[in-house]
Amino acid sequence: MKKKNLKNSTPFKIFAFVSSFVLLCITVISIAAAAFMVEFDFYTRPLDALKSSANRRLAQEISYELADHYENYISDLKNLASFESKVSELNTSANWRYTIKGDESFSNYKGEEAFNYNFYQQVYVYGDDSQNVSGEFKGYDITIHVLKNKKATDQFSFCEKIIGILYSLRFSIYVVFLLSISLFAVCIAFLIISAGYKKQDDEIKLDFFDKIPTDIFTALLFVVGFLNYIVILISLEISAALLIMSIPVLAFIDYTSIALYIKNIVIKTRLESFISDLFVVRFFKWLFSPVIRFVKRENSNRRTVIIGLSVGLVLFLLISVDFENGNYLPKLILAGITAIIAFSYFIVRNNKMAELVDTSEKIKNGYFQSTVNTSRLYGEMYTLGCNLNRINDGMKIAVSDKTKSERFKTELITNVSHDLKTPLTSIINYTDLLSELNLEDDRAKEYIKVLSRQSQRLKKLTEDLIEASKASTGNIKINFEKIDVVELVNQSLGEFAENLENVHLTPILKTTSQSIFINADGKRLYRVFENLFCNIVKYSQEGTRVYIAVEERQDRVYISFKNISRDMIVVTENELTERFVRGDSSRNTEGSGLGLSIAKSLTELQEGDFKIRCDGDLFEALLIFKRL
Amino acid sequence: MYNILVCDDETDIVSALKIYLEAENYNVFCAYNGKEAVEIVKNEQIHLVIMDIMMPVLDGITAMSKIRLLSNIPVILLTAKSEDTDKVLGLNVGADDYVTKPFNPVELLARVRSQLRRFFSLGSAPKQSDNVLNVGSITLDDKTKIVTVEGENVNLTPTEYEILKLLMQSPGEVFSLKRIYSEVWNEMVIGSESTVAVHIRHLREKIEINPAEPRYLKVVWAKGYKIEVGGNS
Repeated sequence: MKKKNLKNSTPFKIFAFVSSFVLLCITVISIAAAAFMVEFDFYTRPLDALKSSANRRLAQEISYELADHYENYISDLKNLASFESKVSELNTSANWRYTIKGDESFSNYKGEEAFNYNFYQQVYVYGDDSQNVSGEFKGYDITIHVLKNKKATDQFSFCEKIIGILYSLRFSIYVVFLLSISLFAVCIAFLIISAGYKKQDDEIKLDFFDKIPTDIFTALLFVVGFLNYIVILISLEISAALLIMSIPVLAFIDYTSIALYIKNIVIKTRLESFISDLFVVRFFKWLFSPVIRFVKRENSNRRTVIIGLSVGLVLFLLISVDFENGNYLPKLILAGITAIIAFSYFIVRNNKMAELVDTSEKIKNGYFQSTVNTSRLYGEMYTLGCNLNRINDGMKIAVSDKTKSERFKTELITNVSHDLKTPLTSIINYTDLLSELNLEDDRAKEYIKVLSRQSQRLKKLTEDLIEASKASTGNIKINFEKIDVVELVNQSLGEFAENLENVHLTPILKTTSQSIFINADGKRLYRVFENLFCNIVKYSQEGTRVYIAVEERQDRVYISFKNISRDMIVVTENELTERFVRGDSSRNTEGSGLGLSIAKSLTELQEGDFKIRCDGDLFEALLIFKRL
Repeated sequence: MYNILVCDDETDIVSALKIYLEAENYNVFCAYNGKEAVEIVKNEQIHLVIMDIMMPVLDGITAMSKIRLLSNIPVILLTAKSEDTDKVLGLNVGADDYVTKPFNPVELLARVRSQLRRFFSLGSAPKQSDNVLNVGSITLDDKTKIVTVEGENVNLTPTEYEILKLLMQSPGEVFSLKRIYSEVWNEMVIGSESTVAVHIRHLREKIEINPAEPRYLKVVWAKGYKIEVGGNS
């Protein structure tokens, strides 16, 4: 949890980044220091010897300057005042004294306790040219006395201090090095792991630097390097101090750019978009995308294009290559450019046409959301695009109108049916009351029976009407679950056993296994079976057999009901599942003519197929479901 | 002599119901909207209410909740709406039974009888004894092999009796045809499951008022059968 927080915390990342820079600096310095100490034998010589050799170096520097001044003094006709002022300028600090022994001796050494460093110098003294006296070398000794008790801060005391510190650190510097480099590694590891994660969520977010293609970034890095070089050159010209000040700033800028560059690569690799984001790749993709689209697309008039290409190529060869003249190169180039422009136009035009075809295909399949973008079309293709859009709009409106009116129809049917039920209740009840009266006329009893039968039929009709309208518009909630079709068929057979027996029908059940499972709503599927059995009872030839089969084939379950029709089937298979269509045209038998329509709608709502087949007098209802 | 309140905005239906109920020796009060019904329940000694849902002035559902504040007498809702959700709503707000229009007078009378018997005669829980199974108002005495529904004896064949006993031993549990067959017949014969279904249909006709909408012996389509009190089929 904590790690996750740190991973997403921007301040912590900035802290880690700055620390990594500081740690890197420490590492570099410690490496430099160690190298320095190895070079100057810090690990083999004692401290005093080290100090002494350092003093000697510094003393030597001073001796050179002294020698310069002394030479000037000699060639400047022994101008003592100038010599003394120059030397005193040099000899500002009190930590050293000097002695020069030549033609003349100078010294400010008063016998303090000191380390003495002797240097021998030579000076060339020119002779007088007019008297043909050639010059000669004159030797002199310079002794630098470095005081043992340092009184002021100058290069000697500074150097001794530094050497003292370095000497004391000569072993611990390795610890510092190891520590800083490992901490640096930790910081870098953390930064790499957490790269791209921002506050709150775990998604990788891209900032400005991550969006730059890596190849462009590489180029930018070179630009930064070049700028560094220029800055250093300019600072060198101006002053050494500016150079020293500019180095840490430049180092920080470089370090930041490299870090951002690495982050860029890390994130791109993590998103697997390293190559696809490269500018070169993008550029070529953009350049060749029309060609790629053209090649990928099937059914385009590719053949036409290929023919066009070959004809163009032949023409191009015929026109451009004039071998006799020999100077065919300009012509060739001109013809090539013309050909490329022509091909580009051809391919782009072809792609636009393909787009139009695609859109029309979508509209054909009922995706009315798809429209043609006409802003990039011209001429007759523009007209075609606009027309397609207009046709699409018309279709959209027509479909939504159709849905609306369908829903309205369902509501109307439901409401009317409800309103029909109230008067129907009275009719049924009073017919029933009438039948219980002692009527003397037998005809009256007969009429009451007709009334009773027809009012019952009306009742069934209103109920079916509601169900049919709901089922056909999908206005029914289906509770899908794993159900056993064999169990359901057996249950239905139990429910209809007497009805079948009454008309002397013998049901014969065949199943491929004892339990066959599908995904459906048991209650609704029973309604389908109920309607089918009702039809079987109503329309079968008496004394025949009814075949019911539940079969598993591949990934499907087939449930079929076969019976022999009593009357000739005069309507087509498709018409049978239409609303209010019945096998007998007389419409005399009971039933609403909605049974098969309801069965079909309910089966389709449960993602099954409902098919009717008629072969002579053989009537078959077939339900197909996906097997579980 | 029970007092029954009939409430419907359709006068013809009220009159027809009055004729039916009076033929069965009930005393009938008539109301033509929810408000009148609530008034009559408040002022008269009413034993059972038959009420329509869609009525002017005060609808049946609201009227029913008002009646429930006064009394907990049985209420049978009578309505043209036949959706499952309508039935659930009616029963949830406190109705005891639900009959859809157009109704069968015989069934309605049976339901009236059943509700009155439940409320006034079988109010207390039946005595428990070792060999007696009870589910709702169905009682099965394994010693005397007598089955009663709401106090009335039911004649069952031995097979029907065994099936009922099996189901009543664990109310609410769904028994598949195969299981019922193997437990009642003590053998596994494949292909005879529909025989069991036929027996259950007969059993349902004997113990239910309307076998198409059973109150006790419920069909779980494509799964099996169960015995349960209350709830909706």
